Amino acid sequence: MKNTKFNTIKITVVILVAAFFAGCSDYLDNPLKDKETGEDINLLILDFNFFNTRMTYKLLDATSGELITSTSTIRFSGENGDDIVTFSGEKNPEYVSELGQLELTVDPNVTISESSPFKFSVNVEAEGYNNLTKAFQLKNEGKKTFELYLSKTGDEDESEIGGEIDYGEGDTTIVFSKVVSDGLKSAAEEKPYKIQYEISLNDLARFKDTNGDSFFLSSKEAEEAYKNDPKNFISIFLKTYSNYAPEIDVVNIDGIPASVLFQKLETGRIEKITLVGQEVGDLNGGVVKMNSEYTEDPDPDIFGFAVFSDVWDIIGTQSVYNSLDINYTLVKASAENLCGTGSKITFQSDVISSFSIDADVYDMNDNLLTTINFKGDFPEEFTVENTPQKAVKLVFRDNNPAFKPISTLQIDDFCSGSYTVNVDPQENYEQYQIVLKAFCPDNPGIAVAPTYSGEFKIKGSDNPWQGVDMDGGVVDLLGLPGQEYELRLLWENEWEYSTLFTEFAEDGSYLHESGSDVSSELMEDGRVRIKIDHKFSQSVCDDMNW
Amino acid sequence: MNKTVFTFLLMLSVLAQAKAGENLMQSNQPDETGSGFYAGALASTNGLGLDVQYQINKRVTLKAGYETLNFNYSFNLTEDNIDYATDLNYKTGGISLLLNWFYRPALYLSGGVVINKFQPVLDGEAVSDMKYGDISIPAKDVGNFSFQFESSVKTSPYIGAGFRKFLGKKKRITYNFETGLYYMGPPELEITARGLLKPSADSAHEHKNYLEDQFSVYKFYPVVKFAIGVRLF
Repeated sequence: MKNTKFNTIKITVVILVAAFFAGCSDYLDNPLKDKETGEDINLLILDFNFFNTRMTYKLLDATSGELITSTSTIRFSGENGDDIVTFSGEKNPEYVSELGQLELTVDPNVTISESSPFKFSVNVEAEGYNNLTKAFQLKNEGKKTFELYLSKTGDEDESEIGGEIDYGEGDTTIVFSKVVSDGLKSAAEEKPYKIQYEISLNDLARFKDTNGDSFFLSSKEAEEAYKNDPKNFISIFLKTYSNYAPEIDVVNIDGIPASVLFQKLETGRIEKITLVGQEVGDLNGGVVKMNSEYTEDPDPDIFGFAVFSDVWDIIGTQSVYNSLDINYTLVKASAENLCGTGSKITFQSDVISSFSIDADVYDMNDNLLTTINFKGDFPEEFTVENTPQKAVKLVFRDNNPAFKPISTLQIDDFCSGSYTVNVDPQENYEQYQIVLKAFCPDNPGIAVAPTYSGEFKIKGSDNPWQGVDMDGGVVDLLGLPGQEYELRLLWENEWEYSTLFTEFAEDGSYLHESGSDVSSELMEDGRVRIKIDHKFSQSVCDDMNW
Repeated sequence: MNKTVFTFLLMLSVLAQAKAGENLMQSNQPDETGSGFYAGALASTNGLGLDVQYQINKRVTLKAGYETLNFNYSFNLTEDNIDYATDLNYKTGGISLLLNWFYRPALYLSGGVVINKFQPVLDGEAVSDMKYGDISIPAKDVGNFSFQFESSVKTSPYIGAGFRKFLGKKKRITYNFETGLYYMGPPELEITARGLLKPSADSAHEHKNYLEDQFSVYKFYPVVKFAIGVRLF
């Protein structure tokens, strides 16, 4: 009887304890595997926040201001040109884009400061556009947007100019000033400068046609030919472009590269020269001279033809060419040194939002000096760099649909002072937070929540893309309720799009969750947080070896 | 399959314990005539410590104990080509107040509460630059991380089973072996991170909740305990 009781208790205890332990058997499941799917869990979320300077390059049509869509090749050179890398850390000799935009960054081992500026130059070749070269000296780290305006070859002025003989004191020359056939686009426009071509009769006598035959046996013979038919004796066919905005560029002044106010006045090239009705094929030791003159008051500090070799060298008002590859850049620049860093400008708002605001900087005579982009999160302070020591006006572009037009900011001295810009949201816009996590299809264990620049707009609308500043995958922004929006990030030459609706239930949950990688929830501050699990395309993952 | 094997082994373990207790019952009838107060030391999976036991009668013994475990293990962790100097600080322990019910003279069930101090921490800091494409990211920018687990239930119910044996002619020395579990609830996770891993700690990503859910099966802390005591009076 006693043994029976003991056995009953023993068995009961054994069963109870065993059952209790059995509840822990889940301990043997691998916690790094998803409980439901058995796939690897997302253990870590990574960021690119080790990059201190992010660069957005926008290649813009100089006439329309639109991003250019033809294939472009961008190369960097100069002291720090090799320190510009992709967000996967690659240093490429050139970057090819069909989107007119590039997101690049700076090797974080390179620090940028006023005493250690980041010096580089950019060269852009784009199909259907003239090449562009420009130099930069960055004086601080941060988010930089570079707008590079390229002139379309189709937008160039075409003209044909004829020459008249000038019996000067020295060599007898043909001076080209008589316009035979004006460019169709801006021929009548009054320009503050004058360019004159000049060929001496001695040089002219050396020219050969496209078959390699000489036109004349001597300068005397050339002079005779001119006298016989001066109207049809010689013509120069030109293509020029002069619709360039002022900017800040780097010019060699007394051998020292300096950032200065700079403007290309005209770029051009000689398409062909005809002599007695035949095209010149070879200068054959002869030269063509170009002379320039600034014709308005006051004269700029620096004026003349410029050649680019990582920075601009102003070679003077005369340029001499000994081959038919004749192209030129005529510029003016200020000799005034710019301040390395200047005024501090804080953007603030009553809303929690990211922003990307463009400002055109004018002097008090309404001359455009440069353009600056401010990208960040309210409130954020920016220290502008390479600023002229003068009073300026910052005219903010009205290109952000979420914000009301921003009043012009007057600054007494662009090299100093602190200023605040208040930004108000447009009516009916709501505040949202987007949280983006991007996965690689083959490696779900790691997600990327990037610190990166993005763009946002209502899908299919004509609104301009609204720049946003994403920090660790999180971006606060303004949007209209009840809309379908697109958020896009540019990875090398590919936009990564995510689509989301700003339609939510009262509890903040997402109304379009079915079949979507988007979900939402109400935040404590009343905003809606929209969570996006985005799958990168494999090419992005390949770049990062994921 | 794993679950089946685990359950089988546990049942075997408890059966073996019960068998041992049966043998004890036959060979070592304790001094179960009255009450006594014992003090001693213990070693368990929840730490090393001290306990006192008051045997009220032959069926019931009250126990109070304190145990603590705090050890560091340093190792190098390589994750996605990043070398981290990693420290695991395994910290646990607690203050327990338990009641043992002897259903046989040497065998008992134990229950009570443990004010637990379960708090392991895994810290890591990048110690070498990270090769990234054509550049290397300085270790200071790669950053560091800290994952700290805590029990969500601080005052944890405890249940266990064990056997007790007395030694010596006067049976003044006692030792007992016990296995049990305390319920600490789904572990709570705190993540702090700087640099590359910073978003893992950002509440906006709710990664903490995600990992907590993944580790939520670990609600029980297994205890295997050996204690020895001396009768004081």
